[in-house]
Amino acid sequence: MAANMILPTVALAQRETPSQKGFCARFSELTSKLDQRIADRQAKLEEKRLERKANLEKKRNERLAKLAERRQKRQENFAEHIAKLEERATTEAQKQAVATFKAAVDSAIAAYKAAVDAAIQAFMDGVDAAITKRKSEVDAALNAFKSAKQAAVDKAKAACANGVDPKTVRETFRADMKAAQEKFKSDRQAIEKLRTLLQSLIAARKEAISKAHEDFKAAMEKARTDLKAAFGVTE
Amino acid sequence: MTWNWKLFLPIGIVVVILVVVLFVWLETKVPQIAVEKTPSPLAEKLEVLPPATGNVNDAVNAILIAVDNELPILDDYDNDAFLVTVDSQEVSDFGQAYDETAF
Repeated sequence: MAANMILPTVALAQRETPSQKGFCARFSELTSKLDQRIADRQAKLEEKRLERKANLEKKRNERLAKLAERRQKRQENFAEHIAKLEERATTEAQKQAVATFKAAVDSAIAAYKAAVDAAIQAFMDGVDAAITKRKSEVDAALNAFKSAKQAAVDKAKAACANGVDPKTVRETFRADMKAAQEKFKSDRQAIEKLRTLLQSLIAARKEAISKAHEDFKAAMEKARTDLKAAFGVTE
Repeated sequence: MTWNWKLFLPIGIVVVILVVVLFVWLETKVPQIAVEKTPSPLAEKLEVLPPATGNVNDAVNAILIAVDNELPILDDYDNDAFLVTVDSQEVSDFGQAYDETAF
């Protein structure tokens, strides 16, 4: 009787590969290595996120500083041009025309600046929202993977404890993990579709700035024509 | 020998002239081409604005140039969008944390 109970087990053990044979015995060790790999990769992801945040902030600050510097230079240069035009204006009408010209330019610059700043702000807000959305979706995918992994681990541990054939436990565990991996892959591919949203953000910013630029140029051409008329310049 | 002189002297003169012309052309054209081929969004080269002259066209053109000078900075914002997905590799690597052959 005892021999009948032992023999099938011995026969089964002879057919098992070493990894199958020790699967249940080594399972805790294997899963703790898996947990470590998951933790390492999550740490690398966090590191990359922090690097992105710092990089984004640095680039934005650099651009804002550069833009402010160029606007300041433009303002100083314009003041010099106005001073020269005022020197040239001999009649009251010409002096008034220079003042009107200055007001028109100031107004066009203010409108342009407001439109550009709004476009930049909308773009930055859009990028920030995209980062938040991506982080939330990636974290959800990560957590789903980790939960599926934990469920597979718990199932395998219970099966091992209940004396299920280690080969079966191993195959079931591998199938469960394969499914978790495939699910993560498909989640990740869906997340990467965010690129379309980013392209639309870029396009919207460019369009807004292009329109502001065209409006500004049109305003400047009108100011040029009006001032030339006041000075009696034809060319 | 005499025939060689008569043949090679004019050819030599033409070659020297061509080399001089090419050299002058490179001196004037190459720097401009190089600048165009290596655009830098935040380049310093655009920062000099036309000086004030009292001429209406100069005043208007100076403002237009100044505003155009801001455009490369605005275009540089595109890079923010590329930063959003900069963690793609790390996200992908996470999915590879499980190695089937280890089990």
